[in-house]
Amino acid sequence: MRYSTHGSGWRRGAENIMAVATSDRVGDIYLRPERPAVLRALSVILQFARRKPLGAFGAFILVAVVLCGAFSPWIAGDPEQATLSDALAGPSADHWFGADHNGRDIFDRIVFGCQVTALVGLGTVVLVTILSLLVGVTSGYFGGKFDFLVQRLVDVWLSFPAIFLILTMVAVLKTTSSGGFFGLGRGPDFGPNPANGEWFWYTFPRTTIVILALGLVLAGGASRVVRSATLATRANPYVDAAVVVGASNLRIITHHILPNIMPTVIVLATLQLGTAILAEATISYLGVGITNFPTWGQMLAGRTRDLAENHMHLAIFPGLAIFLAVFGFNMLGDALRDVLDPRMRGAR
Amino acid sequence: MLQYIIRRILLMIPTLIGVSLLVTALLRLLPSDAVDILVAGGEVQGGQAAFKELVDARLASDGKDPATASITDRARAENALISAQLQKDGIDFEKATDPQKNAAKSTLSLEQYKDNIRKNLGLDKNYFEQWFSWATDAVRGDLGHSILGSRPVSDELKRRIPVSVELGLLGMLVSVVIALPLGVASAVKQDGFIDYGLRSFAIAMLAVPSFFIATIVIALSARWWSYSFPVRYEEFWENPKANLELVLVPALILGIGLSGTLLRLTRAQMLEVLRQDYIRTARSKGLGARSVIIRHALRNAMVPVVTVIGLQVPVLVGGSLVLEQIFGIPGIANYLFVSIANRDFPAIIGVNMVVAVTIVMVNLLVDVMYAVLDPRVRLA
Repeated sequence: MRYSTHGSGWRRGAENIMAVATSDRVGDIYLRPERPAVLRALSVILQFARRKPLGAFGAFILVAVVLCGAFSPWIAGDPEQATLSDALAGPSADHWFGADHNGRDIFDRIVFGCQVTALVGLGTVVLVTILSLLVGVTSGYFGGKFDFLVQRLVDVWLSFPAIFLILTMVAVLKTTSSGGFFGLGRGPDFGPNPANGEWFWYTFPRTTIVILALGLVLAGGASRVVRSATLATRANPYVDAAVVVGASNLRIITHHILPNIMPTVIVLATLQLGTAILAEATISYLGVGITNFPTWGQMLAGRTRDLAENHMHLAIFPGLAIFLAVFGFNMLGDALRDVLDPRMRGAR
Repeated sequence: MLQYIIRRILLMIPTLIGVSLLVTALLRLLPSDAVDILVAGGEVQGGQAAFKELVDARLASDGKDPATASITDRARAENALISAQLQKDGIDFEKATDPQKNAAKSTLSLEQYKDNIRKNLGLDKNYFEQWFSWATDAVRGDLGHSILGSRPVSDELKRRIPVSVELGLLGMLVSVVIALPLGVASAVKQDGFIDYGLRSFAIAMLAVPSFFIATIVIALSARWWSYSFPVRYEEFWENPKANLELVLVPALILGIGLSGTLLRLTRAQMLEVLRQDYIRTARSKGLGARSVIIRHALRNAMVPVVTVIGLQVPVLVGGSLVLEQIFGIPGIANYLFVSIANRDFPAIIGVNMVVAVTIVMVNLLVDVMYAVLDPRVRLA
């Protein structure tokens, strides 16, 4: 049987004392049987949900968006199916969220838009985390001239208007132009056919481009946060002790620095998720991002602004989708920050 | 202090050189340049003269004087050129049809024509030449001419910067007016019902896209009051009323977006300060709650808040792009957007440098202000 040595809270402490009282062997003092991993995870989640209901709400939205994205062909109908007789129809039993000016069902388009939101959001966060760890940890750990040089480069990085980097990256990386703004025209046929699994191959390159652009833009600021967390961790006596013992730089970074800055990194990643999704929606709105697949930002662009006067549902539902997703992820990030990393409270 | 400021200003120079090098590099990576856009957009026509130039060059390389060459020589040179172009598409000159030959001829003349324009505009230079010629002009205060429209970039910037500054300052004002009182209220009633609501409100403000608010505002004002926003931008000094009518609503939306960050920061700082001993002292000597909160707590909590207001500048530029697009405000973000679409090198690098200088200067100002406001902070 495995034992856990770390209890938390007074109740666990009481359990441990019980263990001392009933134990036969000296070695069992302070040890108690560990519950199965699934139960432990469940109780942690339940505790989190009880203490931070809004954070749990955010986690729920995250899971919902990912699931909607993964299973959208089974949840919703064809998002490109245009029934002109239904054009601009309000919400009804047929069209839950109404239909747009081409007669396409808004609910279907929002559900399919989850694919873009989930892919871009999670992809960007992964990229930002990797980049900011690479830059921030090395810069903060090695310090000195190297740190100075890297930080001047980060200065350059941060002195750009983000929008310039995004627009240029999107234009640079999309070299196979098929007309349209910034070389991002419609795909070779009239939209993807999700029934044939085409959606992935049609959106893949552009999704990657958007992820690369957003990741590069957001990583600059994130690397500063990682660097300061690294600096704080590096100042601890146990790092000096590791140096004295003769541990290599790589070992100190992977065994002492990384585990200790993880809470900061996790919180940062959750907050970046909301930022990335908002940014994706914005560039889609500007007509620069993913154009050959339904996205939430795109649904608010174009004729929607003029038509919204008499057909509010055109703007309300996609707008609410963006708002709810970003709101939920920010709430989740906030709750995680309170639980994992109280030092960061109030930042941002 | 003075030494610190001088050092920071000197550090600005490599940063700005880095930014301009990077912008130049990024623009060279673009798959098409301004001339492609110009020609594709039908801005210029021509080509016959360009083709004649090509033939002349061919004749000269064959050792014949273009001015005195016979008609057969000329025709032979023409055919050689067209044959080479056809071979690129895998077509044999002997079997090629007349339309194919004509197409090849027009492609050749168009390419030559574009190259001529590039030479005139200095776009044929290599990376370092291009950057260096831009940099030497820029140091002398000449930002070059926009390729499309051929107006001086500095003129365009002079016209647009005040517009952006007006929008940005108004937006900041709105965010401060919203965030400060609410942040203080949230901190004073910590963990109460009001606090919970205001914190959620702050996160909501961070989450709502500005284009969504703008769409709803435009739609509702049209629906309820049959009001439509002015289409034409007017200078503030010429027509303040028309100017504000257009700029006020975008500034409000911009300010609402910024207020989320500011509210959270104000709250966090107030909580920090309210825990201090001097607040207890102020309370215990019998000062009223209002006086303690405003004169003792808020003033001290303001120090980091002021600095963060300054750090919002890059956010402002990005955030105002969407609003400038929607409301048709001729600010610099809009200029950058259009210039990137047209691959207008001098304009793009000009706007980027202006923004970079602003960001770097504001950062310096923020650091200095931090030290001035809080004597505990030492500038190193």
